[in-house]
Formats: sequence, C-alpha cells, structure tokens
Amino acid sequence: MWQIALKMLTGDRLKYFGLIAGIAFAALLIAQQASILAGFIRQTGAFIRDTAQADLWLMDPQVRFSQDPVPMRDTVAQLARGVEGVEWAIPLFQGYTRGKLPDGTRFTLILVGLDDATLMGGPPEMVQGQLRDLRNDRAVLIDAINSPKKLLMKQGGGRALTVGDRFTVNDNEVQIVGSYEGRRSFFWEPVVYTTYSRALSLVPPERNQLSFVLIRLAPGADAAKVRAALEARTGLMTLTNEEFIARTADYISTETGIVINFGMAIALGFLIGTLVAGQTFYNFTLDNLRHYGALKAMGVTNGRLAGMVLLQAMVVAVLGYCIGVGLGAASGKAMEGAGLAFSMPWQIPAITAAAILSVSAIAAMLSLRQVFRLEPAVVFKG
Amino acid sequence: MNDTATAAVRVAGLTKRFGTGEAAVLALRGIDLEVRTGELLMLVGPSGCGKTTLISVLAGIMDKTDGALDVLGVDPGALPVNDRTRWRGANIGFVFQAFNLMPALTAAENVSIPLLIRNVPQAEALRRARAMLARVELANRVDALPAQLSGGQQQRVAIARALVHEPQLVVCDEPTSALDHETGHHVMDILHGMTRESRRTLIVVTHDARIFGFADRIARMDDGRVVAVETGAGNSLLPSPASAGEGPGVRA
Repeated sequence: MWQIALKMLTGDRLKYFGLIAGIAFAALLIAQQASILAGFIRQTGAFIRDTAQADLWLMDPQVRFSQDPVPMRDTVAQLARGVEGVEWAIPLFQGYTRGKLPDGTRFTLILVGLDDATLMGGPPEMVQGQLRDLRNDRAVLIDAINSPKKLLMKQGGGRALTVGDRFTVNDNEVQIVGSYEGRRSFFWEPVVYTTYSRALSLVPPERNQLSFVLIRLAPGADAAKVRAALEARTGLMTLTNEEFIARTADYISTETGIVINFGMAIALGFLIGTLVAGQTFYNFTLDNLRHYGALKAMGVTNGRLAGMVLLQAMVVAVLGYCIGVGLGAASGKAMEGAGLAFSMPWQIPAITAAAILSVSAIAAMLSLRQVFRLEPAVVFKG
Repeated sequence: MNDTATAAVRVAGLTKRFGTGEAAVLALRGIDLEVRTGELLMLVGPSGCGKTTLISVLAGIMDKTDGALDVLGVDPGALPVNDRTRWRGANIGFVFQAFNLMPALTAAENVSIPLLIRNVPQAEALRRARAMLARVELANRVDALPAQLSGGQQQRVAIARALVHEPQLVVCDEPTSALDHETGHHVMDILHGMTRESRRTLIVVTHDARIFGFADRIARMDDGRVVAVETGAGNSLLPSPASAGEGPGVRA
C-alpha cells in the first residue's frame, strides 16, 4: 500500500511541491538562524584561537570573557615560571584603547602586546611582513582580512590603511609594518598587535597592566598538577584554550540578548513552518478524504491508513528538510564571502531534523484524526 | 438445496436510526429481505427512502441499530472494527456512483488496490489487474489515468476493481447514473455477465429504469421499508419465476 500512498502524495504536483516548500521554508529558517547564532558564538573565541600557541592561560578569576582582562601584577609571569612542569610563561597585554587615522577618523581598537623577547602569542598567519618586524620602531601589525572595513579613512577618500601607513594610538604614532590573517571575530574592533613593552607605552599607565600569562607545559608534565600548583602559587585561575573559549561563549550567550533574539527567530521559524506545513498537509488529507473513505470501505484498516499518512508526511519532511538545510548551508557559504557569521556544526542539522520530523508528525496526527473519524459510508454519497 | 437458492444475505427486522432524541431519523424501519447467492437484486425507490443506507449496512460499512443480519454467514456489525474491515476487504466488492478512482493511479493500479489490501505482491496484483481490465474491454487502457478515460471506461475500471479479488457479494450504488443510456447499458451488461458467470451476488441501488431488465428481482423501497419485491426480466436463477415474488425472503 505504500506505493499507493506515495502516488497519492505525488499525484497533484502543485500540492506536493507546496507541501515540500512549506517544510523546506521551516527547515531553512531553523537551520539558517541557528547557524548564524552558532557562527556568532564561535566567533567569540576568535582571539583565543588566534593566540592558541600555549597550553594554558593564567588570569584573574574575575575575567568573564577574552576581551575582559583584569590587570595583574607583572611579577605573575615570573612566579609562573618557577612552577615545576612549566616550560615557559610569557606575558600578554590585551585591552581596548583609542586610535586616530591620518584623516582624523577616530576609532576604538583592541591592542595586543606580545612578549618582546619571544613574540609568542602572535597571529598564526602573516600576510605581509614578518612577526619579527614588530621589533622595529613604533611597529604594529594589522588584520589584513578585516582592516579594509575597520581601518577605513572615511574622510580620506574611503581608503583603508595598509602596510607602511601610520596612525596614532592615544596620540602616539605607530607604523604598520605587516598584516596578518585573523579569524573573524564577534568583537568588531580591529585587533592591532605590537610588543608588550610598546603596548604599555601606548596606553594610559595603570598600577597593574598584565592581562594574561600564556603558559606552555613541559613535555610529560601532569597538566592537572601544574594547574593546581600555578593557582596555588599565584592565587589566579588557569584555563585551557577550549575552557577559555567556552567561558567566553557562555558569557556572550547568557549576558547579551543574542541567544534570546536568535532563539525567537528560530522559534518563529519553527512556528511558521509548523503552521504552513501543518495547514498544507491537513488540507492535502482533507482533499483526499474521499479516497481514504473508499480505501476504508475496500478493507484498509485505520492502522494501515495511519501508516500511509505518516509515510506521506515523512517523505515530505525528508525532502523538505534536505532542501531547507541545503539552502541554509548554501546561504551560509554565500554569507561567508560577505563576512557574516555562519557555522553549521552537526548538531544543527540534527536538531533541525528532529524539529522538522516533529512538525510533520504533528501535521500527520492532526490529519489522521479526520481520517479515523471518517465513516466509510461517505463513499456512497454521490 | 439448490446452490442458487441459498441466501447470501438475510435480514430480518433491520432498522437504522441516525441521531438521538427528537432529532432522530429512522432511515430503515424493519427491513426483511433475503438475497440469494448469484442473484442480481436491484433496490429502487425515491431519494431518501433508505436504499444507500441499506447497502451500507449490508456491506458492513455502517452499523445497524437493530434487527438480525447475516451476510455471507456473518453479522458484520458483530465483528470488531478491524476484523470487519478485513472481512469487507475479502468478501465485498464496491461500485460507486462517482467511481471513486484514485486520480493519481493508472487504471491497472486502481484495479490492483483490493489485491494490495490483501497483501498480494505488487507485480502479481498488477498482472491480475491487467487481466481483469481485459475482461472489461480495457486491455488497451491499462496505463491510462482516470482523467484520460471516459465516464463509461472509468466505471468499467471500477467494476474491474470491484471484482478483481473475487468477492462473494458486490454492492453497486447508482452505477449508471453518471452515464448515458448506451454506455450505462454496456456497463451493466459487463457487470451482469461477469458476476453471473462466477455466481456472485450483486445488489444494485439504482434510479435508472432503463437497466431494470438486468435484475433477477427488484425490491422497491419507500420510507425505510421494502414495499414490494418483483421478479425482474433478467431472472434466470430462481427455481420458478412465478414463485419469485413470494419466495424466501421476499416479504414486502
């Protein structure tokens, strides 16, 4: 009987495609909005991933996310070096500060200061120049991917800063000696790299200015023991890269409205999809009620009819899901080029599949009530 | 007892009430009737007299309210719902006024439905469906969709569908009302011939006086009752045409 169910489904092409379109629309909305949210959440860890040459980050326990360092004493790095199992421990400065482009355009930037001696924690991929060029006088590195948008001289003909250009940080002139390929970040401000000592000279002085200490474990060291020793000696907190990424993502998710906003969009997609698909499938079943009545009269049991209707619903659900998620993934690919956040880990297609199957099953159940109530004698009504 | 004289359907005091209380409508008011195996009985009467209700109850697609009912040896109303549905699938063939063919299925696929319901493999079901379509003179239209067939051809497909699983009882609701005289006559000719050669019992609800000639007997109904049973021109089963009007089960 499943062949008959499928033929009934595909017999009226317009209704068939309408059903699939309804489901596809729901799947597209759910998958796309969830992927944009996941993209934004993923981008919150961009700075940590770009700086991920160490095994551990040592920081003040009050740090809530990667762009929220709580200044520590400079001696912390030396304390950390004295802990058994630490191969190296280097200081890292990171903080928001103000800059001004040659045309007078003011902007906020995230200034990162790398250890003068080792330059560890620098960006993973250079586009122009070398990391060691930071040792030149007044040298800074800018993000080659994001700078064209973020370091735009709006009053200077719309030209973006490039290698060789100069600009000021808190009225101190710096020169761009290279550019790097940075990951797209949730935090919009441009990330400018320089050396640790120069960073401290560019920002207003404070009593404590060390943001993080990057720590590499010695080969064979017991990470848990080293962490416990570091925390005991410094009274600070250690996090792995993944823990720091998760802490940042958690903070952004819970303390900003992003999850609620996208959650509402996803819920709306689910609701609209449910209504569109449910109504269309319900109408489809009603249109075929007479045929279900004929089948009932000819000996098809309610259970078998339920199987037929569920099969029809599941076929529409699977096809609509594939089209919707496919379109969602394609739109993500297109958005990547436009620089928008988009990430589709396997959980999103899986959750979307569960949502779409539920929507379709609900629609089928509602339709089935009509089929079950149907008196087969309806077939004798001319 | 002669095979032709055994009863395929036997009802006594059959009533059917719709609704309750003051809004109740008594559609069947104590029907007594017997239909013999292999007989073609026509139910005639004005609209609303209870003809369709009666065949619905006989075919087990509507519950009786009261009375005794024996169809092919069982009271379908006494069977659990699913058993009754399966019993219908095995024993009853239906021909509907509006054909009720699935528009998305070919003629052969439509005819194969009763076999698929009984779990006959699809290939075998289609083979038997095509053979049945050949018997209703539609061998060259097996792959046509209902919309590509004339009214007469659609009704012949419906007849093939009603007979393909070899039911013992075939009920027809106004099988010729949507057809012109010539086509209706041809359709009845085929239906009559096919049921007669396999000695199936046929009950036809009709208003179409032009096909009365096919009937072995004609039961006239009015206001929920069988008011007269007459011997039809097609009678060839009854032991004696003279006794047909007052034979077993014939009580007006």
